[in-house]
Amino acid sequence: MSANPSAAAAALVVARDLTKDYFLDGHAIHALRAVTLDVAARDFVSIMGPSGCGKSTLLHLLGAVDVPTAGELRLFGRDARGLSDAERTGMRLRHLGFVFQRFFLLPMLTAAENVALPLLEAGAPRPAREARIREVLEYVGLGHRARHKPGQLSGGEQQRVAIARALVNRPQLLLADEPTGELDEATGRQIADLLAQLHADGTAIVLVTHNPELAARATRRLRMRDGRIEGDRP
Amino acid sequence: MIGFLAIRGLFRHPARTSLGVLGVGVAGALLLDMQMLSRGLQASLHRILDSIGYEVRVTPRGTLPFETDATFPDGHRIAAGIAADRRVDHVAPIVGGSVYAARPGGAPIAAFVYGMDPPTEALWRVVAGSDLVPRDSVHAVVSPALAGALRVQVGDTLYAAGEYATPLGMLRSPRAYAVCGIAEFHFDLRGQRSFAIGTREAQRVRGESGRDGLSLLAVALHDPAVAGDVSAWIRATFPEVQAYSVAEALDAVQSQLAYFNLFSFVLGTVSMVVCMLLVGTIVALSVGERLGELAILRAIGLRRRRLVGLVFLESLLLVLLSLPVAFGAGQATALWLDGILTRAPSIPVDMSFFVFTRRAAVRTLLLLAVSGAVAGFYPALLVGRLRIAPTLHREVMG
Amino acid sequence: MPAEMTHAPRTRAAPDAAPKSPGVHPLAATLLALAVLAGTAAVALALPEVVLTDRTATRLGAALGDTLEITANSALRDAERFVVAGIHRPRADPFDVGYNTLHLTLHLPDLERLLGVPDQVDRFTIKLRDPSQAESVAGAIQRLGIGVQALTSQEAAERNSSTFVVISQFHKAIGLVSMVAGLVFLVAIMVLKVEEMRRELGVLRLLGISRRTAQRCVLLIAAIVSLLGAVVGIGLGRLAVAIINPASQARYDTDLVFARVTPGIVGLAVGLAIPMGLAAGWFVARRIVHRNPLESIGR
Repeated sequence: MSANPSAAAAALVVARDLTKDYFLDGHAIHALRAVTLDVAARDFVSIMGPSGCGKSTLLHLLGAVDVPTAGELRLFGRDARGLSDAERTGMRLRHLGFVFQRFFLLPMLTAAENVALPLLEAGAPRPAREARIREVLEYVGLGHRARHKPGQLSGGEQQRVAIARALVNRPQLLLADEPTGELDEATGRQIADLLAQLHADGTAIVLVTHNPELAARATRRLRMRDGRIEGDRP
Repeated sequence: MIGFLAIRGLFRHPARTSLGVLGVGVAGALLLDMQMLSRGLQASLHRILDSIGYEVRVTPRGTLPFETDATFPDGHRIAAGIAADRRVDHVAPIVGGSVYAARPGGAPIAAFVYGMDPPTEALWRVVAGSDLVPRDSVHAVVSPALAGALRVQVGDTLYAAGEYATPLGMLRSPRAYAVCGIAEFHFDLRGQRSFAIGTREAQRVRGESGRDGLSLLAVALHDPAVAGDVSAWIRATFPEVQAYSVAEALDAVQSQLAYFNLFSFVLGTVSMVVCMLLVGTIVALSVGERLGELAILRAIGLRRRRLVGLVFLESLLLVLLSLPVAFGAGQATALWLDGILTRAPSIPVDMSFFVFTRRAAVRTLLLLAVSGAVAGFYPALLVGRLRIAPTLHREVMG
Repeated sequence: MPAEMTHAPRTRAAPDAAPKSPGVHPLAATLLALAVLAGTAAVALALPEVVLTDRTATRLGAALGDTLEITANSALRDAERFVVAGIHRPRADPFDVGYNTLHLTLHLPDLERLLGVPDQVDRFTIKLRDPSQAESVAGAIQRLGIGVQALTSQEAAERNSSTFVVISQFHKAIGLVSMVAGLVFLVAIMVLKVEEMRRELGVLRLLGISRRTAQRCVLLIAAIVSLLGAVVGIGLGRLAVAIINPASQARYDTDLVFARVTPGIVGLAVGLAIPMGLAAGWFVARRIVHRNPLESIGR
């Protein structure tokens, strides 16, 4: 069990008996089995587990990227299963931030232009947009690399740009899927420090990782196996 | 935003985009050529007719101007009847037909005679010497080809007759004219041996004086806008002749250009298909390569229809970038192809098959735009159906 | 000095290829034909004869035994009555496509009388006892100096075909442009295709596959793509011909065959597509296999 009753009242995410099945060649693959989880406004949750245990699947459901097969999922007070694709997209734009193992920056855009994408979609006016871009790039320590393209940045710098992009619309919840997976140890620590700073500044974080050091930085640590949450340790 | 993403996306692989632009440009060039060909001869004729004036042409029934040697009788009576209409400014009686010409002491050769009284710009323009004078009965202007064949120049004498006495090897009842000028005739075929004399003189040479036979009446109007009404009135009032406004003459000519209409349609369609295939392939492959990026754009909150719009825009941009190549190469190949086709023996020298008109340009632009849009349909479908989570998973695993 | 008639009269003459009634030549000048249906067979027997093409008969609404009034006077005066003695379907004439000309065949004396030009013809056609003598007979007639030009059938056909020679050159030019377009297209597709395989080729090279083997792999793919493309193209060409010919024949009311896929064209398509595809593949493969394999797999 991983429900935190005291946080439920201020929960950004409320998941009850969440199930996700995939069908491949007529066979059902049970990626998630009856997962129950709350994420509150100031939580920093890490999820660890072996490959294929359903960590990323859970993250995708919490991020409104996918919908559960069964169970209850409330995101920011709304029933996720009743949301249309456009509503889920809007939720990702305004309330959520995503960081991935492979950064997924657009290689033909500069760092500033990559960070600008969510702001452009949200229709932010130009002066406010430029100011916010400068602010988040400074926050992640890359104010001086705004005009560089991803090919000109190191792995750690690219991941920081990806984090800046995830933060630019001031999300309430940041979801990170193996953010240090492609980075060396030293760089990975820098990213871990940045995430800790983000949490300290008020952003809730759910983090999937194989890295025990990174996982240890979280205030709650979950373990998953075979689509279920095994443990939830503060 | 999608505009800036589309432009950046296209220039991400400059070599690939350049090849695509070149390929679409060549297909577009062929498409432009076919649009130019489809109405080129008609447009060329239109330009000539517009430049020389006269809004209505009257010919023997069932013929187009100078299509045959046929004439209609009582030509000047009909001309006077037409000229009496208040809408008509003036009427020019014209004779045209095959005759024989010779220089003094020389062998006769077949030639074509034009009979027209000044002003004569409707049929020829003098390039050396002088033109005929009103009611001229002694002078002739000759084409360079006839001057060369007969070895005559300005000041020399030319004999003309409508009949050739075969047993005697001589012209029958020839008439003599002094060559006063060399002229280029607007409707001459390549190398045509033509000469022009006054209308009445041409009738005498062709033996048409008795019946007052004319080949053509060129009618100038006070208001060109009523040309259709006037031609209809002439057909109704004088049933022995045919009357054409410029538009009607062009329509009649167009129906005779069946081969070129068919050719331009078929080849134009093939060009569009090639364009669609190339653009579609380039954009689809490009989308396939960056599904991960597209999935992340969806993950960070970009709407599905934005990305679908992005793909369509990339297709259209590829077509847009190819336009300079299409129009440049199209014009160059049109010149080359026109040079081939105008060598055909039955085409007047002043006419072209490939004519660049606004209509041809606009149709090419529209057809290319449609090709680009249709080409973007399949890649847009790929993007529209993109599932974020599996795509991201696959990208990470891959 | 023999007379010359080296420049043909400007009127449009029907080609010699069409079959004719003996001694009669189809009208080159404008004839105005009025169709008046008469009923009396007895009257018809005394009238001079006219033979129509099937399309002319259809347009005039005339049948065998009907009477036509024909005049060369554009004011439609002095018409003479003829009986329709025959209706035939001539060989398709490419010069006729798109034109709405009526074709009538009369006995020569009747035509001369109608036109008011006795003892004048546009041409003679001469049948020889020994066809191999055609050139020498034509030369002999020419040397008579009676103001005519004598042409053998081949020479006449060449003259009449001059327009089609130009059209043939035009077709070749278009073919060349299409080939250039095809080559650019093929190179573009091969670049994309091989770029798509970039990662796989990089992995193969890392595993120890030689550049030569990798290049041959790409060339084989290029050859297969080109061959398949040629086959599909020929299929599409046949389909297009199957649509164009009946549609055009119906549209222009002719038996002419407008388009044809011949074994020669098939051979040309395949013979050009494969070398072009190989050339495109070779050009692209060179770029890819010489690249650093790690770069190819994105490391």
